[in-house]
Amino acid sequence: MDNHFDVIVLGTGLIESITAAALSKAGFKVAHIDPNPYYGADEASLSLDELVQWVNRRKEHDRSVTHYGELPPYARQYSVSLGPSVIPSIGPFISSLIASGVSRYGSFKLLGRVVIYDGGMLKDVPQSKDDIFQSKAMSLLEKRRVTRFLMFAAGDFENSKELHGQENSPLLDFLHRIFLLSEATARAITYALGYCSFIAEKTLLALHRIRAYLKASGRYGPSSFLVGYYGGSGEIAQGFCRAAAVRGGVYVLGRSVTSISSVDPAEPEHPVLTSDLPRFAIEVDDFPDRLHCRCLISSTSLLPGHLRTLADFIRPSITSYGSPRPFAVARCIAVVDGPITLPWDNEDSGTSEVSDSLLLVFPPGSLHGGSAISAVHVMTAGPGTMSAPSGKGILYISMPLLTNSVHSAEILLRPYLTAVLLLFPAEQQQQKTLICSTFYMQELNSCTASTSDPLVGLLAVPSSSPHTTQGVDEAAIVAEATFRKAASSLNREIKEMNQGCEQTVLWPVLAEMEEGEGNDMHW
Amino acid sequence: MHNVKRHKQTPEALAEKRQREKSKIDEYLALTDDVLSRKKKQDWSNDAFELTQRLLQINPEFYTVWNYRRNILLNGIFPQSTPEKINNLLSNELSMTTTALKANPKVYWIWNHRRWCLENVPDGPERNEVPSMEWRQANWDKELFVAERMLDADARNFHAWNYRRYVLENMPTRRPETSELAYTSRKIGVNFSNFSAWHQRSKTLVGLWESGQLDPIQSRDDEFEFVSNALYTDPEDQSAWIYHRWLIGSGENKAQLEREIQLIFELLQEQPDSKWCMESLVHYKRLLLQNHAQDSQTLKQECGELLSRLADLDPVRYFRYQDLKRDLDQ
Repeated sequence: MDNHFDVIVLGTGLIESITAAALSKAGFKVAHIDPNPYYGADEASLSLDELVQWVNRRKEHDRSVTHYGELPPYARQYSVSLGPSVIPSIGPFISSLIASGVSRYGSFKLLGRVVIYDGGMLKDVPQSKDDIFQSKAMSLLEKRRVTRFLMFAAGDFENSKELHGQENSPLLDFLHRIFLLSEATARAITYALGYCSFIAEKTLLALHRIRAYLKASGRYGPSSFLVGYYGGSGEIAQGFCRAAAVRGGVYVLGRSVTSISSVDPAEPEHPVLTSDLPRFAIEVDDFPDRLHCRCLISSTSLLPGHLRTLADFIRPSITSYGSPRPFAVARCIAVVDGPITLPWDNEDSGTSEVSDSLLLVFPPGSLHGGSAISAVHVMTAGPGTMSAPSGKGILYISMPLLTNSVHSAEILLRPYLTAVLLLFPAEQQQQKTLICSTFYMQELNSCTASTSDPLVGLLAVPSSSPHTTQGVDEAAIVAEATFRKAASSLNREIKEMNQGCEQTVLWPVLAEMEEGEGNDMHW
Repeated sequence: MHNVKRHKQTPEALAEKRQREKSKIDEYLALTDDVLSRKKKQDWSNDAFELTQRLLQINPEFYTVWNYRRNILLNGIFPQSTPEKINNLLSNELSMTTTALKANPKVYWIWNHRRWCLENVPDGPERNEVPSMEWRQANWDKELFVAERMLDADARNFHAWNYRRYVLENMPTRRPETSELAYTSRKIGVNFSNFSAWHQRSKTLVGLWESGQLDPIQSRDDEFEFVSNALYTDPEDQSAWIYHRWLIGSGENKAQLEREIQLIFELLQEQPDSKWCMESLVHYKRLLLQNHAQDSQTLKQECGELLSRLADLDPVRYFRYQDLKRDLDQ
């Protein structure tokens, strides 16, 4: 194997994978390394037995991770995600998925119902004018006011008189005072239409999100979001890696990087053109020779400390619709018996196929024993997305945390798991049977202050945002920024060689079918 | 399709398109000549039958050729065929037109042809030497299915709604009207901005009231409640207001009229710029005046004020509102 690359990427998380695919398709020579024996890093999709192995490895350095229950039969027919999320139907992520061709590698379907936990029960969240019309829970006056708000949120609200002076007030207050919505409706809009993570999130930012989601609805169907098959995120990261590989990218899984060093320009190892001079040399476990590259992109956690301070850190932008970035996310993955359906879906004989991909929102303070600050999301998955065998389901519970918590993920999330098991009806039983459960804390890389004089060609990317609805779009934006920085650091030399080099395009126009790609059309 | 804009092309693109299409046009004109001359000669052969198919695939709006095709079937092909063969031929016609309909859901002549086919399905097959009507039943059932698919694709296609009414009326075993009511509820629920669905609902209800299956008074009240959800959710949607007006009718029921006036008045408070609210209030208050309170000066005054507000809001119709005001004073 030729040891000289344009770019080496460390870590196969979503951001790194999108970047690798973009660079590979742009014609750069890419090597992509991950110490894990699977793709996706912290967003990986694992079978249940792989999850148990993951738990055991993690226990070596983190004793708060816990796992209960026996592995069920057909453990390999489960696909659980370490970082579950949904995909907005319109946004930079889906555009990248389509433009890169990676959408052809996976299967997607619409998210089913979104429901909110309010007053001890589950309630449907109206997502459109027709939902509002049909709702049995709102008074006529409330219907008028909610529709008026939706029209406002879907339009150009930036200079509106309603918003004037209120941009930084909490959204809940804004809805209550300016649109005269009841508290229950305001909560539903804030947490299950705007998907705010924390109490008192500001109006303007949340409105931007709401507008984006309202516009996304209808593109593929009534929901604004898609979910991926086979556990979603990890499959998609793998898809981007596959796209990179098809264009010549080299993949190394299950090997750690043992050292990274800058190459002294005065002593090249091999006689090469000055323009191809490598900047970094990487030593990989079990590899006889070092790998060289001109640009090194790494997830922050995989960079050794001394390099972290020297790297150009690609800031996760608080984009125009950003939520405050959490410090960590408490997570639970639970496998349950029986199909996952909402209590009222059993009465409705009209629908042909009820989705088992649901999103259940617990606003802050809604659950006794739960968080008063964070909104907790429960995503469900099942055979509908090939994530579990027939008759079984998966629950993902996530709670974003603004600060370090003294409690373990299990203590924080147990009340929610208990509540959810009681809320989903089971045949002849009070509650769903829990087969196995895992609790863990996902810590996100803190934003290290970017040094004023970063090492040329060394880029550090943050963890992917864990936000259920916004995370993938943020990942796409960070990946694009990383791609551009990497391309410009590489093109500087090329520019010197051939004049008139045009700006590198993010995703070149797709050929009908590239060589080496299989026939996996699923749309 | 509703809400789908037509795509305008540049003159250069159009000219290019015309070039490419010239050979196709020549072919089409030759085919048309052939078919029409055969028709003149009353050619009922199989060859002619095939030719009409080719022509209709290119231009399904050529109703003369549909007529010709039917004549070929009646005069040339049916007389030589068993009832079973006729049934098969007609099933074939129905399949062919289904494909044509998917591409052209609003061409009258295709719908027409289907009706003709359905009406000509022979009684049969024979069971114990008695015609069983099974062929008919099967074709009509399928027909209902086709109409429903069309409405799923575009719930506001009045051709499909008309056709649906026709099929329901002519099916050998009738479907219960209560299930039709449920169908309109479903269609309205999915998108209540749908004149055709509300219209169908009104026709179905009249049938149910007349046959005694539903109590007209209770049912009307239920309908008022149903439509008020649409009025409040979107006061600008015309179809709901028109349905409401139909429910009120001539305004004989005083309690109902007063109750609805109050409801609309509250909606107007919440949405002060709603033209429909104001217009409806004027109309309903006038009904109240005519039927129950001939001398009420308060009502006349209220109408006058509303009409002034309307004239301000909608200056294009200024003279109409003036006219209505004058009517009030008489």
